[in-house]
Amino acid sequence: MRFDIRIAALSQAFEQRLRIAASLLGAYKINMQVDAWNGTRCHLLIAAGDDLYGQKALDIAHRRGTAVLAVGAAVNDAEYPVIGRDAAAVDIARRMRELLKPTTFAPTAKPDDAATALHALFDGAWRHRPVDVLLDRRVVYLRPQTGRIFAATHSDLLAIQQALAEDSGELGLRAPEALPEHAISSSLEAYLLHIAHAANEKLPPYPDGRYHLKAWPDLGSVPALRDAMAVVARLTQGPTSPSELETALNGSPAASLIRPSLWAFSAAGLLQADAVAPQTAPRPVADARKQGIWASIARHFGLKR
Amino acid sequence: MFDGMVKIVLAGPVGAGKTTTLRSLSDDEPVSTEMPLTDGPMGEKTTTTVALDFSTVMLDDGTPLQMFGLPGQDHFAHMRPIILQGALGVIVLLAADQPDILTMCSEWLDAIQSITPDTPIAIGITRSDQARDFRMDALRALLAERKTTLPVFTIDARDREQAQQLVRALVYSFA
Repeated sequence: MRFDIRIAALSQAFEQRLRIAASLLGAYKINMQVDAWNGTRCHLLIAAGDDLYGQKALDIAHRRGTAVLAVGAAVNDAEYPVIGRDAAAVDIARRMRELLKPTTFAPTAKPDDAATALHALFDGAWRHRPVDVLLDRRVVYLRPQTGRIFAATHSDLLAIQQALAEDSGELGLRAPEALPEHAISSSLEAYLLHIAHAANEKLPPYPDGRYHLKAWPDLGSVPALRDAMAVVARLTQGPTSPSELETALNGSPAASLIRPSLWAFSAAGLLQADAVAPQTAPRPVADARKQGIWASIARHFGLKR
Repeated sequence: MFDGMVKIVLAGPVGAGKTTTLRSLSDDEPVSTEMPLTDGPMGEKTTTTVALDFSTVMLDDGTPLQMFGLPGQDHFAHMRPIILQGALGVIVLLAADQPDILTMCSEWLDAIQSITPDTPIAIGITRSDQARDFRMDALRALLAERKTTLPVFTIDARDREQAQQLVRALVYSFA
């Protein structure tokens, strides 16, 4: 394993000793690459604790759960590990080894039924259940009951989204745990739709039956998959089957989004099977004059119906 | 070209992102009646709409689609029937970090539906990424209680494509 060590606001002298320390750790078969911090996730951030930029970097990395080492001084009230700015290379190497040790042996949970995480989430035991998905030290927290997904950073959301879309065997699942203190959140349905669309060929055809949506999925953040709204519109009108959707949307851009939509909305817990649709107010009907206007608006806003 | 006024109205409480959304939807800089907040800044918000925001988008058949932003403050409520009259659709904007978001949602839906009951509505939720306690299911339960299924989308009001998702949802709100 190669560790990604990032540095910020260090003096030239300390950086030289740090690089020597990094080469010393090769004796323990700990390989590492030392680069300037660029704001993305890494294994360990070493930054000047008495420099404003260094402090900011330490705060951000710590909030993301990254191991940090402050050089020279502690940061405000934060309890970051500190090392003197005159520390020898051997001492730096020892502190780095201590800080990297826990991540070396961090276990990753596996899906319960030995299926991949993708299948466990979409058509397996974890479908529309709260669950945490793990990839290395990244975690996303799926909470279908709230319609939201949480993570420490946006990059965690994207990295695990991509891994799920690729049906990666590196992903693990675990029962839900407490959210990070500064978690960011996003639409769960949009997240699952992105994955189901990218992994379309890896998911089976949606089982035959009649389905309806009990609420509109939150698709505000997926403008690239805007045509899924055509599927949503039909599923909110009343129970319909996958084959009826295929017939109704045949030839439209929405046709390729039927299967991903059904899997995503089902995984999010919004799709109801073989149930009577709840009584809702009738949808407004546009007269012929207004239909022409809505068609113009649809074209202007990128819908091909 | 359509003969008559074609308009979409953006509604919602103060600070929900109506002016920002209108700006994102518009081809040109909207006409705005922003004034400094009399009670001082609300976070980063220092101004509020006192009459209306207005902009147009030219549709491909030459029809101007007019877009109005309603003032959010209650003492400008008299503007609502004037602006909502004849609206093709209404976008209600709410901020996820407002603790009384459910009450706000209910009040604005009541206000709109009392003036123009059959106009399709889409709901946009702003600032949801930073609102850890925001629950989409609570809004859905509220709509289910009202026996309606309206599109509710979380959006970044500054993002043109995401703001447009609300207009697209209005398009699909017809039977």
